[in-house]
Amino acid sequence: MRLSKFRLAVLFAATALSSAAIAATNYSPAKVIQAMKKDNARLRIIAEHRGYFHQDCPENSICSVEETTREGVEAVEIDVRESGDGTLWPIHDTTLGRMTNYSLNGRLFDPYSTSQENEYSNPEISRVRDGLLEKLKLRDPLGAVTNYDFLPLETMMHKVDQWNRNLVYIFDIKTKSGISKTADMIRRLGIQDRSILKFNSNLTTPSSVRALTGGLYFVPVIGTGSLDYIADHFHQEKSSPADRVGAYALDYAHTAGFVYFELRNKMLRGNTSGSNLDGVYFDGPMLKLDSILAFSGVPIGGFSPQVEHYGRNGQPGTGYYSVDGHCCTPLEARLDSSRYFGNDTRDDRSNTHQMIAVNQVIIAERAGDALAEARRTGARADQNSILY
Amino acid sequence: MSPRASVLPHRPLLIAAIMLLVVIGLSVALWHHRASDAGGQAIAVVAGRSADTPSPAAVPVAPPSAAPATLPDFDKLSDPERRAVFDIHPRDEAWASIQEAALRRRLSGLADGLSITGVTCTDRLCVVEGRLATSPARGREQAVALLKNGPLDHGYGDAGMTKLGVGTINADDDGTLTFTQYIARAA
Repeated sequence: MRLSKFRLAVLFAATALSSAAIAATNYSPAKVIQAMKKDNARLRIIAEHRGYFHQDCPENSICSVEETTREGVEAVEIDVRESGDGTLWPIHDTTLGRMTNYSLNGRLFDPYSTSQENEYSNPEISRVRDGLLEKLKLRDPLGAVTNYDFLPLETMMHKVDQWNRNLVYIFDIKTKSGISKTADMIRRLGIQDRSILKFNSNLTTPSSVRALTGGLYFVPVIGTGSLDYIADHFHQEKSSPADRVGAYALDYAHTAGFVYFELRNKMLRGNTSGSNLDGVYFDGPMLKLDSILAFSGVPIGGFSPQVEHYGRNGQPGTGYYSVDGHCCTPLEARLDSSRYFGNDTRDDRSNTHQMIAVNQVIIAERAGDALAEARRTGARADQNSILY
Repeated sequence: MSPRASVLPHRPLLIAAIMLLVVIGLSVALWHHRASDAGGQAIAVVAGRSADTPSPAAVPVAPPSAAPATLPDFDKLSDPERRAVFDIHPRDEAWASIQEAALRRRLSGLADGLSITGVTCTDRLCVVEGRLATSPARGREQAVALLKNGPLDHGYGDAGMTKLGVGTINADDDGTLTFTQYIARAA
């Protein structure tokens, strides 16, 4: 009898402990998306850029998404491009070389070489047919070919979603036609409650975005490089460029399905450490748009990059891969400019502390670290409100 | 004696204690609920009209509409908000169809390069969409000024309508302007 009671007690304790462990990552995607919509310094939302990838685990793969869930992060961002057949594929680069084992001559693409022969193994994905893409394997961040197949986005998401109900998927869509195609895929898979369409605001317009998203959750992106185009094309009835850009942004913000605005604001100022998030502000060309959105109660998100590549023997270059797969440049080599609003003069976004201070949603290269920083600074005090 | 048998003699006491706790708990909850309902103030009971009281109005009642009687300041609204205000107004088919035709007729040709691409009316509002080409003789600033305060306003007035704010004016890469303006029946 006593032994049986003891066993019961042990069983109860084990169940309670395992429940607590699950509860710590048992996010409700619906609550996470609602939390993205409201600026709250006590609950910043973290999303992992391309999933948590590492040696033997490629970016934008089943593996990297699974690793994000294991880390206890509530959202993952997956890049989306179209093949020559118009099918959606999960890949960041415009080309195939860095991320797959595509090769015409038996040699893999070398991100550190710019020879013409090397480029034969680095074709644009938009020119390659599905039949060939389906035969490819993914490469890990060190360039090694893994056992992971390069899968069409829908196939990958179908597999991912079989074991996952707690993660918000943010699809970073690079083409206009990809927006409605991704929306259709989301409906087919029945994952509308946990999926967000993210795209550059200039891929569509505020008046036509609803036709592409069909009312699903969406996040428009604006950077310094887009400001002049917006000021020259939208709301010409407003006299100042800032008012035009502001009216354009609010048109998006008041459209059904809007979640938050991702701003590529690279310039921040204020304290960089300590547990206090106060005293950190936006700066630079995007400041006026930030102010307009903040005063209107529109939540803001931002991407916090971390160095993608460190130089090693035989692998020179330090910094961030170019969109065509070549290594590497520092963030400062990619600053944008605007004749109306001035130029980016620095890029502070790798400072996770500052990014958490000013953004409601932080897309982080290393989301586990960002989550730890958010907890340290009190920016996850209300985390229980996003659990089931 | 088994453990179960040892508890049984105290069972009535146990039940009484539980009931007492429940009563105390309910009382506390009820007291708190009333206090929060009243917001610290006494609740006043206001007499309402009984069901058999005759209605003072003998005039025909308009069908229920979600549209408010007064319109917001359209200049302070975003495009989707303006559209939402427009969409809650029901369509009065007789008035709307006549007004749409009249507006198209009056607005077309009011300025060189002006074309009306759409006119849609409800029971008291209309939305007018159109295009205005720029030219070497008429740059973007002049074209915008023409749309903000120009012949269109006279056309609206002639049709018995007034403009609700400036509206939205966008431009394409060629410099052609597209505009959307909301107008209402003049009071």
